[in-house]
Amino acid sequence: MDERDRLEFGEFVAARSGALIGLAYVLTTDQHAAEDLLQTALTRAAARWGRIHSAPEAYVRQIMYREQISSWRRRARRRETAMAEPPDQAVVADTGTEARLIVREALRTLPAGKRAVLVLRYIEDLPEAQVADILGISVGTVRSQTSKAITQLRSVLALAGLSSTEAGS
Amino acid sequence: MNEPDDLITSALRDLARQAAQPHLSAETLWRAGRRRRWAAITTTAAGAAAATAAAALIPLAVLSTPAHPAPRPPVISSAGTHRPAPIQLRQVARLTHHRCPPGSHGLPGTSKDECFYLTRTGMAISRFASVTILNPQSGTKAYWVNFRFERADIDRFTDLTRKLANSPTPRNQMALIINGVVLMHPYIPASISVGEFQLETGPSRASAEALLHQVEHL
Repeated sequence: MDERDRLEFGEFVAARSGALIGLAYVLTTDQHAAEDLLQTALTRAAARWGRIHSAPEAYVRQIMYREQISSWRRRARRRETAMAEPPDQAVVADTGTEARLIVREALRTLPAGKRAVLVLRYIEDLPEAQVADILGISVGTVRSQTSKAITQLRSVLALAGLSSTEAGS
Repeated sequence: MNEPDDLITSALRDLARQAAQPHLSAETLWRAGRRRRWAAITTTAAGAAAATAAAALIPLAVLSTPAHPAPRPPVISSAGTHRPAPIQLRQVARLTHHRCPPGSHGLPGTSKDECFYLTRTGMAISRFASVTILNPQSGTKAYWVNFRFERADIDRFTDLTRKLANSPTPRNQMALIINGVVLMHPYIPASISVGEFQLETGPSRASAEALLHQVEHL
C-alpha cells in the first residue's frame, strides 16, 4: 500500500507541479517563496496521502492558500512588512498589454488574503461560497476583500492615467 | 465578464506564467511527509545510548495550567492538590483535517487544519525525568528527542504502549499533548518497557530544539 501511494504521489508531483508553481508564484510573487510554499503543501499532502489521494490537487491548493495567508499574517505581526519597490514614473499607455503590466505590479502590493481571494475568483472562477470555504472565512469577508482589492487596483489604474474602461480598450 | 475583470484575470495569468519550473524531488517530499505522518518511535534504549547525546538535559518545570485546556483532562495529585497535568499521552481515536469546531472535544495539532479526537485511554504526567536531543547517528540525518520517564511512570507507560500496539489504526497512535496541543502522534509498533522513548524530529536541529522548547516552557 505504501509503495503504491509513493508511486502515485510521484506521478502527481511530476504531472502537476508545473501548474501548481504558477499558483504559488501568483500568491507569493517571489520564485523562492513560491517553491517553498509548494514544497510545504506537497509535504503535507504526502503526510495525508492515504486520505486525499483521490483528489490531491484540491487539498494542495487549499494548503497553499491558507499557508500563504498565515505566513503573511505572521510576517505582519513581526512587522517585517515586505515593501514593493516604488514604481517608476508611470508611462501612460492605452494598450491592453501595458495596462496588464500595471495591474500585475499592483497585484504584488496586495496583502496575501486579498490576492488569494482574487486568484480564487478570477483564475479559478469559483463562487463566493467555495472561496469562503477554502480560505476559512465568511462569504461576507470574501465579498468585502474582493471589493477592496478591485477598488485598490482601479485606483492604481487611475493614478497611471488609465481608467478601467480605457484599460481594456 | 467586464473589462476590469478581464484585465485582472489577464494580469494574474501573466504573473502565473512568470514562475520558473521548480526542481522538486518527489522522493524527498514523500519521505518528509512520511516523517511528519509517522514520527518514528524506537523501543530500545540501545539506539539512544549509541547516539551522541547533546548537552541539552532539560529539567522540566513544575506543574502549570494548560493554555488550552483539554476536555476532561486526567488529573494528577501533587502534595494534596489537584491540578491538570501539563503533559498527556493519549490514544488517538480519530484525526480530521479541519480546524476543531467550537465546542467540540477535539484538540488542535501543530497545524491549524488538524483536529484530534482522543479516547480516555492515556496517562498524564507532571514531568519527564529528562528530555535530551540526540544527534543523528552515523549514516542518518535525523535528529531525535529522547524522553525518559520518572520511575513511578514507567509501568503506566508500558501498559499504555502495550494497549496501543495491539490496536487498529489510528488507535495505535499516541498523541503527545502539551498544554492542550497535540505536538506529535507517533504510532506504537510494540510495547515499550525501558522507561524511555525517542521521537524523530527530522533533519533539522531546529525542529528538535523547538520540541524541547515546548517541553521546557511548561
